Amino acid sequence: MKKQSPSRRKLTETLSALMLATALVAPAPAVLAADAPATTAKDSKKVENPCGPSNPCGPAKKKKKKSSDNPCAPNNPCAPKK
Amino acid sequence: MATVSEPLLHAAHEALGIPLRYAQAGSSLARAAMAGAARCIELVHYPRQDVIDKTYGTRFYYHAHGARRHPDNEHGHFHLFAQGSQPGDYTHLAGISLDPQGQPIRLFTVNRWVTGETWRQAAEVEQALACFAVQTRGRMAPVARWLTAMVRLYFPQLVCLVRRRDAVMARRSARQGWEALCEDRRLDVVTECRISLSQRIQQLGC
Repeated sequence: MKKQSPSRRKLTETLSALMLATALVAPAPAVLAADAPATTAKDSKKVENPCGPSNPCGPAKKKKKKSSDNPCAPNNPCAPKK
Repeated sequence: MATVSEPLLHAAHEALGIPLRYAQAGSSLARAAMAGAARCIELVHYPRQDVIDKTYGTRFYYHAHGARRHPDNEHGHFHLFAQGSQPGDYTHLAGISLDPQGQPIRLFTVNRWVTGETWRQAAEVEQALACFAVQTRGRMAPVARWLTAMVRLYFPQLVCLVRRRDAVMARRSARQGWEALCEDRRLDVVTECRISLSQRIQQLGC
C-alpha cells in the first residue's frame, strides 16, 4: 500500500482535528430580524422583498467622497449598471 | 490515487487549517465572518462596507436572511464578487453558506435581481473564478484567505453550478423572456449544491 505523503497525512489529521474542535464550538449568534420599521420608500421595498429592488445582496455602498480618487465613488459603484 | 496539484493541496490545507485555528480559539468562521459584531442582523453586510480587494478586483461580504429564506441549518452566507472595469460593474461569482458552527454547507448561484449584478455568461464567470483571490488586512484577513482557498478547492463544483445556472436561465427565459426572468422575484437561488469539507478531502484522495 502506498504511503501518504507528509502533506496529505497532515491534511487528514487537520480534518480530524477540525471536526473535533468544531463540535465543541458554540454556534454563531442567531440571526435577528431588522427591528426598525420601514419608513422610507427604499426600506418599504426591502420589507416587501428583502432581496429585491434595493439589491441587499449587492456590494455595500461606499460613502461618497467629494474629491476622492476612488474610481468607484462618483458613480455610485453599487448601483445596477442600467 | 489521483494526483493532486500543489496549489490544490495548499488550498485544502487553508480550507481546513483556518477554521481549525478559529475553533481552537473557541471561535468559528461564522463568528469571524461577522467581523466582530456581537449580533447578526438579517441582511446587514459584515463587514459593513464589504471587503474589497482592488488588486484582484474582488470583494465579499457575509450576511444572513430571515429564517424563511435560507435552508435548514444555514447561519448565513458569503457573496463573492468580481469587479468589472467600470464603476458599478460587478458580477456575482458564488455564494458560500455556513452552518452555525461555521462549516461550509452549500454553494449557490443567484438570479440577477438578487445582487443587481452585471450578468455575465458562465465562461466569463469561470475565468473570474479561476483567478479568484481576495486579500485584506486585519481581522478579516484569514476569512479572505479561506474564501480564496475554498474557491480553488471547489472550482470544479463552482464551474458546474455556473454552467447549470446558465442552462436553467436559458430554459426558463425561453418561456418568459430574458428580462422578465432576471427580475423574477420567485427565482432567487438558481443553482446550488450541498458541500462537506470532509467529503471534498476524501474526493481528493487525501
